[in-house]
Amino acid sequence: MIKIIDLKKSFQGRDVLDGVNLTIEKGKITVIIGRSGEGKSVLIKHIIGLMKPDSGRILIDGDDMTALRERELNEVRKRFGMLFQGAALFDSMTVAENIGFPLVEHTNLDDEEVLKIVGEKLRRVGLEGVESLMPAQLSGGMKKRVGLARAIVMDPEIVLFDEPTSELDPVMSDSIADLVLETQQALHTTYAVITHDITLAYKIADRIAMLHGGRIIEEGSVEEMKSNENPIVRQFLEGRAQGPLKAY
Amino acid sequence: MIMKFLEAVGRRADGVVNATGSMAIMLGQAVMFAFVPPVKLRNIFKQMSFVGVESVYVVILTGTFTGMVLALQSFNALKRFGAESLVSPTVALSMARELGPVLTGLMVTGRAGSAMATELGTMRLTEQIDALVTMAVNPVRYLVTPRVIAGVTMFPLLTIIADFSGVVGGYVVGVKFLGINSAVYTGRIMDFVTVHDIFYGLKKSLVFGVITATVACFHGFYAKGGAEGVGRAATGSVVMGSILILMSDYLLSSLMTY
Amino acid sequence: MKKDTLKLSPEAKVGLFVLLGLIVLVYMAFRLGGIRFGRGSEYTLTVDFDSADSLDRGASVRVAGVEVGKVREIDLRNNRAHLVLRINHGVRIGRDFTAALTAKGLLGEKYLELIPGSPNAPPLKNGEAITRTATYVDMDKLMTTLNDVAVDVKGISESLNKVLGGPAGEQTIRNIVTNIEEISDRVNHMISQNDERVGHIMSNLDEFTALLKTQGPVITEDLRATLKNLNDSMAKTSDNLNQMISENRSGLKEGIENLKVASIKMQEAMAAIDKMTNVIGPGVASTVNSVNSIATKIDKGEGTLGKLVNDPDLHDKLDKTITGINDYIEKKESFRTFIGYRGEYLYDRRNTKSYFSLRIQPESDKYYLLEVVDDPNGKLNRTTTTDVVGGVTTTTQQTQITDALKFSAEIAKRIRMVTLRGGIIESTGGAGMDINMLGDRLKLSLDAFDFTREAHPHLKTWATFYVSKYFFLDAGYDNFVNKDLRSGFFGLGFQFDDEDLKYLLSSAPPVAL
Repeated sequence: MIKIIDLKKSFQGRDVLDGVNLTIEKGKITVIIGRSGEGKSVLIKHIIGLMKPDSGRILIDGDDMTALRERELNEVRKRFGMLFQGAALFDSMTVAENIGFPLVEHTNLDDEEVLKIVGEKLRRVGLEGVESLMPAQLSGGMKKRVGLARAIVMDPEIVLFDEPTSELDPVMSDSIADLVLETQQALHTTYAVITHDITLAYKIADRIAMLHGGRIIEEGSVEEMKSNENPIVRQFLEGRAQGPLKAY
Repeated sequence: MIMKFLEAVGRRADGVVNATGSMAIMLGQAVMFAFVPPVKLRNIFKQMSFVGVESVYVVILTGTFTGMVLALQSFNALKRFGAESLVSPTVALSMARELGPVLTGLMVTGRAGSAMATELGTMRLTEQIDALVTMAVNPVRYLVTPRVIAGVTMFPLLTIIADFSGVVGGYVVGVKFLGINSAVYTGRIMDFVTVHDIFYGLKKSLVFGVITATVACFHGFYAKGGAEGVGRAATGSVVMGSILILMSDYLLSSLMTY
Repeated sequence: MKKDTLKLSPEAKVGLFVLLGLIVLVYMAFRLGGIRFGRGSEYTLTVDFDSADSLDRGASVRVAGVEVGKVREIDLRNNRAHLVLRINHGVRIGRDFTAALTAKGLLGEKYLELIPGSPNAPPLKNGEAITRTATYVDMDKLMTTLNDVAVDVKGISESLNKVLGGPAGEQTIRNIVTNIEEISDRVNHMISQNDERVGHIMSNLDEFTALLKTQGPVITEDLRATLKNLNDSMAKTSDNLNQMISENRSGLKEGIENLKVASIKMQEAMAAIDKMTNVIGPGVASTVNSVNSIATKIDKGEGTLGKLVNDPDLHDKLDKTITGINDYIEKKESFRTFIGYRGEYLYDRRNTKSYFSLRIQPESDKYYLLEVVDDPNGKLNRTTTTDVVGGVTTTTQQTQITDALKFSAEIAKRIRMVTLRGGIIESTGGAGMDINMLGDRLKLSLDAFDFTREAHPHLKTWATFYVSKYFFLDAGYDNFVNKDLRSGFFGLGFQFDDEDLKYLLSSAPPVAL
């Protein structure tokens, strides 16, 4: 379970996170929605310790991520997987080397065992026979799949998703959504997803939280959010240009 | 007006100090990780191959032509004293002590330094460096340490090759074109040049290797602002690397009296 | 196999590159001669001069024009120049050699010529001094000599002046005149007293005159010839003198003229350098810098080393070392047996390979090598399993690598620094090569064997560095053309010969001195 308590972060005088409070429950998919530039990525980068907050705490099963030293932080990070927006595959490595990277770095498995696990994970994300391709040879959807395979290769307890469907067509987006659901249900992993893709949120979320103005303004199950009366939430979920949110 | 100017100067100085500090910290970490296991030899070899092996042609060309031009110019000057025989020590000493290390440093900074900065800059902007961190891999250990090691080990080797090709280039011009006796050419080198001169240059090149790798990694590592930012990182690394090489060359020359 | 096995891996490329770089460095180091193994190959002599005459440190020392060493140091001792010379090993400098400062041509570089004495003179030993010195005539010396001559001539004329001129001279002349007066007085007196006798003398005189009349022309002729001779020789002498002076004058003139021309050329050169500096700009600054440090270096010469070599303590030690090495080399001539062990850690495969070796060396350039090798990657089993699951056929190829004991038996022949080996290497046919360097302290090796495998032959290259006579370190790249089996390695080992073993095994080893 991840508990975020009063998290604050500002960049050059602008408060991006202004007291975020959120609980991400174990074994569930929590989707954090919000407009672009509202600091969703900043929030997720805080969870995995890529950024240090100005104040506030992030508790992972009771351990305060913000107070840990680099070495301890790395131990906690090994329990995480993360899928980046652009998949962040290493350009200089093949697909197999990318997926196997955490294994090579953190385990004593030999090459054959690593290859076996890589093949297994690739099959899980619906790909086969792409081990020796380079990332540049993959389509956007395939990159995301490979990224997901790398995120789950260490069988992490928590997986973070940064815009898993960005830059994908609706059909591809839906297949990724299916994949997220499948992988989560198979292992009952804790998933935290940030997105502005409402379709994706409705499809996969156990709980939805909306980030606005540096705070979580509303939070609840899909049904609760659908019936939420907050005009900001309504406007965002319905995708209207008119309303309290300004499109500029 | 004056205040604004002073503020601008202050900000600039602050920026320089910050950059220097961050670079020093990065170098310190990179050096530390070079001695703390696990050390990934594969990455180091990859970088050595990139920095060293793939720079050989450039360095040979640079060295050869520099040696040739040195021979030609010094011949014209020394002819007035009837001291044509001093052409070869001029070429060899200039190459060994000064031009070998400096030109190698500048060329490799241009070739490998800019490529390093581009590569790391791209990795930074496509979140590959963040991905390393989330996978509990220290990016300095994984990316910077092999490059610094490659710089430190490959620069002296490239310098040796530059020195040698310079002397050979000078030989071609001096002996084949200008008609200096070949035994005089080689003999005078042995009279005037010692192994210390070569090592003197190699010591310099060690420092240049560290500078090139660190500056390039620093610029790539902290690149921001999209494709343009990557370009800026590459240019910045070459400019800063070259300037630092020339500055440190003066410093080293004044410190190392022998 | 696939074509990518032919492509060199980064490790192999780097390895090749490092090897290339080191070979170039070692080549240059040897050519420049700054690194010498066994510093005993030179010895030092000293010599004192009244003036070192702008001789530079590092100037060459020659015998019969052949360079035999260098001037190591120039100091001032008791207002005399004290030179320390480094003479190449094997060059005998006799006790009666003369050291002379001289120069190559008019403006040439100064050097020290050692002029041999008698062939039987005993040679000088390390640290001793050459006592005989001379200075060769060069332009400087010629000037000095001419000056001396002028001073002498002036002296002579001055003393003549002193004798003839002044009051003393007058007195002398007056005395002479007085004496003559006295004599004529006495003659007068004698004549008046002895008229008769005078008459007789007069008649005698008459006779003499008559004789003179007849014989006169002959005598006159003789006299004339004598006078002429005298005259001639006087003229010749003055001619010679004239000639000498005029010759010297033209020489002097020429010298001055040369100096003038040189200074003009110098000015031109400076102007050219000025121009160059302007054109090339700051680039030259660094060159000037290096030229400066070159100059400093030349000034300093190899001072530190000189001091080291001068240190008698060090000499003794070196002497002992050389004796030791000599003994060692002599021992090497005879039949020897070596027993050795080495272990190699293959870091890509994370295991260790061990070698026990027995080397029988009947002659110094030939040996037989027997080895037992414990190779953790010795056996290679490939099993192919085919599974059919739901109509899909999957073929798995499994490679199993197991431990194996292997044997090597090689015959080796050494030619100078290269040793060629051949025979059985690790239980297969093979050949190898070693290159010995740095006085056998460093060995670069390449082995090729196992040509029967379906893969590429087993190639292995490594460098061995002998830390001492008994222990060595090595590092290299094993099986580098086979992609799945290649690995870098490093290791250490030792070897003892029969003598050492006897010594080691003797019941009471003597305490180290």
